Amino acid sequence: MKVEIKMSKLIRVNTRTGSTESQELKQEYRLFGNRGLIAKVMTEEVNPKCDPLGKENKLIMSTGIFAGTPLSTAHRLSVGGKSPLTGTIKESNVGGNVGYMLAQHGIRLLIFEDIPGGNDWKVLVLDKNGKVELVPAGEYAGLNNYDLVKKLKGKYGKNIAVASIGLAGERGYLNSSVQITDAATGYPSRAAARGGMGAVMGSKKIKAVVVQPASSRYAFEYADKNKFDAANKRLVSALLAETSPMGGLAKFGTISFVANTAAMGIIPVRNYSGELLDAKRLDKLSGPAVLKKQEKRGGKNGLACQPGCLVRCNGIYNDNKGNYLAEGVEYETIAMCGTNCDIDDMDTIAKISYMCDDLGLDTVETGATIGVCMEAGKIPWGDKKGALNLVKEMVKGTEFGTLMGKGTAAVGKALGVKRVPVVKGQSLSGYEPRNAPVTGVTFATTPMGADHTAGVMMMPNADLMPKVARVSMSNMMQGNMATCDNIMCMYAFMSTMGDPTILPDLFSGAFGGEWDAGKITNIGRQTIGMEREFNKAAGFTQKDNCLPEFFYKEVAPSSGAIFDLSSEDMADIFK
Amino acid sequence: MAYNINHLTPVLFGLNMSMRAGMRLKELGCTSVLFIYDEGIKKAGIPDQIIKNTKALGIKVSVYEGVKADPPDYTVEEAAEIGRKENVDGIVGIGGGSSMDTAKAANILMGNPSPISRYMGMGGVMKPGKTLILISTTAGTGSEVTNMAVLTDSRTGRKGGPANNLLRATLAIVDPMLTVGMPPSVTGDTGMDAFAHAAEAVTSGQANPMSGLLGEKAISLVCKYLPRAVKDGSDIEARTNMSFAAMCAGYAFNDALTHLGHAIGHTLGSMFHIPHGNACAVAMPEIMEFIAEATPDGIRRVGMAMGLGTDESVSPKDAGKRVRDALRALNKEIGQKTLRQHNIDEASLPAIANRAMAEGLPMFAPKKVDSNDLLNILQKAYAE
Repeated sequence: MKVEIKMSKLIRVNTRTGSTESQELKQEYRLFGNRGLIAKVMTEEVNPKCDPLGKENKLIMSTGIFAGTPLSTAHRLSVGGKSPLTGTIKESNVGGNVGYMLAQHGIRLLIFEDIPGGNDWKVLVLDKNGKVELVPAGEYAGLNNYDLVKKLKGKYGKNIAVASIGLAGERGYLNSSVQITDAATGYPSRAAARGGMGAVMGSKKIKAVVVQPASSRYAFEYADKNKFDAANKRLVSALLAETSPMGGLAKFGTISFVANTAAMGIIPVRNYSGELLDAKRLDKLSGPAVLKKQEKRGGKNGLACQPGCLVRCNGIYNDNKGNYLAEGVEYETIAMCGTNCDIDDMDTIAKISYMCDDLGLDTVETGATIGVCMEAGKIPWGDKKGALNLVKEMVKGTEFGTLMGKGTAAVGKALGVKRVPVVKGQSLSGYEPRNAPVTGVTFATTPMGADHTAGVMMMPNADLMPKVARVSMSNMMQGNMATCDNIMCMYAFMSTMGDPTILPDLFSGAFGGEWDAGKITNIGRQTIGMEREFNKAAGFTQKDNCLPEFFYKEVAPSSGAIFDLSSEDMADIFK
Repeated sequence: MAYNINHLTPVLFGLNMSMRAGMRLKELGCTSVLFIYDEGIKKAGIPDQIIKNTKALGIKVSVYEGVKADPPDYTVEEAAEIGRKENVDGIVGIGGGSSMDTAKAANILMGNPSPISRYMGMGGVMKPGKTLILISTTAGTGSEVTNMAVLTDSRTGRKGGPANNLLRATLAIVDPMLTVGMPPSVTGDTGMDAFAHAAEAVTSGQANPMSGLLGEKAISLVCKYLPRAVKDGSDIEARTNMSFAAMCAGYAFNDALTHLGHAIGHTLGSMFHIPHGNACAVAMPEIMEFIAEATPDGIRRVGMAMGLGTDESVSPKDAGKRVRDALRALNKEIGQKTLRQHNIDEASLPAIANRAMAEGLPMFAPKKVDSNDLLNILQKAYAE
């Protein structure tokens, strides 16, 4: 393979005119990645008051600061824009192989602008020579992700990477995802799930983005390659160390969190009732229990969702005949579609997970919506068949399915449910905020609407700490996560913490200059600052930064805790 | 001056914190736990959520629901028998002094051979029991943080019990919400038990600076909040402060020990079955007056804590009188029954005095006391 591209590029696609334009990435953009790049573009180019599904909004895809280097997990993809679910800025980041493939072409940013008038679907194709083209996609419209990717591979080659939407995105469901192909399986099983980015993509009539492996590969220009390589080597050692806290992830996947969150009353049960997960249910949903079953069925763990990932939390979940049922089911999917709905059958949860990936839905929002339907008595708690049928309603696009496609808040309102677990219209993602109060502060204050990726902290009895301490810890976590969201996967990022020289050396090796923790974290701080600026201009105020009332009023029976931080208590969080 | 500060029992304090017992048992590594409580606690439904949580966390649960007031030694044996049979690695006592003391004593038998009578009195050589969590449902006994248990010898009817640091809980959980259901009379009785612990600790011959600090705080909180808690049981601020006061008083008397109030209290309890706190409080005004001049510093501190302005300018004698009068008023305000109201015959006062003297506790009074002194105190109290 020739190595000759030296420029970091930005591709603009006008979805109305069909024109595409390649630009050199501005210098001031180079030290931002993923989430930071989205914040940059959104604050500089998008009217915060725009209609998220209208022509002024943009759909942005971006890669990380170290994209194009061999740094493990450097190739996450971010998908962003103004969220139709929350009305806030939104960045949803995801593994898979699209980020890696874009980096091969030297592309850091893809910006889709405007909306086309008619109903002609397009696929954006980036061919092996770096040519970018919007091509008609009529034959793909109406397909869900698994069939779509199969067809696209038939046409563009089996090694392509795909970002796509299913029917949920086509129909403008506010809980729709953008699905990304997985490096290990090639299936569209990685989800940029949160905030309805699938609907934004659908509004621009983009069915998929197809990236062929580059024939001429982008070469990252290092300031000091030896320094970078040495630091990267230290990170690799940390990731592969037997004592690595990430060890459980390769063995079980993120399902390994279930046992701990159950012991701390953090995994939600029956629509965030605050009760504990019963030990008998835990026995069916814990990492070792699922692993034992999957070993018999030929399931797999320890797969890398993006090339070069050493965390390897990905897996394959097989049915009882040994056939692929879903990708390795994530903790948040188990929490929201499982325990939150009183469902302890992993096969059912995996089926829901598969259906969500195929239709292009956020499993978190889906599980929260089913939980609210159960709370309303529409179906009984623990009704496996009923839960699957509700997802099928979304697949079919029935009247109730269409309502579900508007998200948990809309369904809660329509069914007259008082306990609706959302912040800024987005559902809490599998962490009981009364028993994980620092995470609760994050849910309330992150510019994204309730989301665990903004900074989770699972510390027992944190509610006994002063309010200021809880707020400060969330601030620290959010700063760290926003920084991480510019760079790499959080699990690999966490592995850099044991050696404080790794990140500064990676930065100075790649970009030159002196780097320390403060300078690096400032990338995340600036990112959050831009996001808050956008939300403020969109009309959000301090009053929007709070949890649903029931967390303040109902004592969690598992622990006696309540959530007692008002929006005023959290007002200074980012100051 | 040398002294022990033994009140190191870790505490989780706060509204609804009893619900967290399950998680704490899990954190402490327990896999099989015996819950000990009485019928009343069971009827109030207090153990339900706690046991539900414990089971949900995969911990095996056994229960002993046979706790009795003034716990007889055989109930301790019954509870320990279940614990041994189920091979528990943890014990949880839920309730007032009786439940917690039964749990403490049964736990000792988890590390040592029966019968419990082998371990009566202070000190002694014994092995540790299992992980012990005590959850108090009243605001008075302080037993959740002390290192002793008061039991009844079923053969003699006398009270006594082991006192050893190995009796202390691994963790005490003080949840004021559990005290909300107490009726006014029980609130008053248990609250005065806390007062007696504190006032006796501050004036004890074995008082130390730390017991003084804790006792004074407890006294002032009881004076401020007990009338409120009696008047309105759902006054959460009053309940919270009473729970805190009772805990502080427990810490205070754990090392300073009690003296005349409890000597009389235990006696009235075993002879007439008068509620413990009421029995300790019934002669407390006269006791304070009696010991005032023997502990000028102690009586002034009690008076200051009660808000009576008994500083250095006030003579110990006057301070004693002020404390006496204020205490009589407090007893009246919260409806504490007098000796007459308990239908005790005046002729039995000498017997009460003699038996109280034999309790042993009078030796911790700030001066040497004989049964005539106690009779004098009882007669004055009777005249009230």
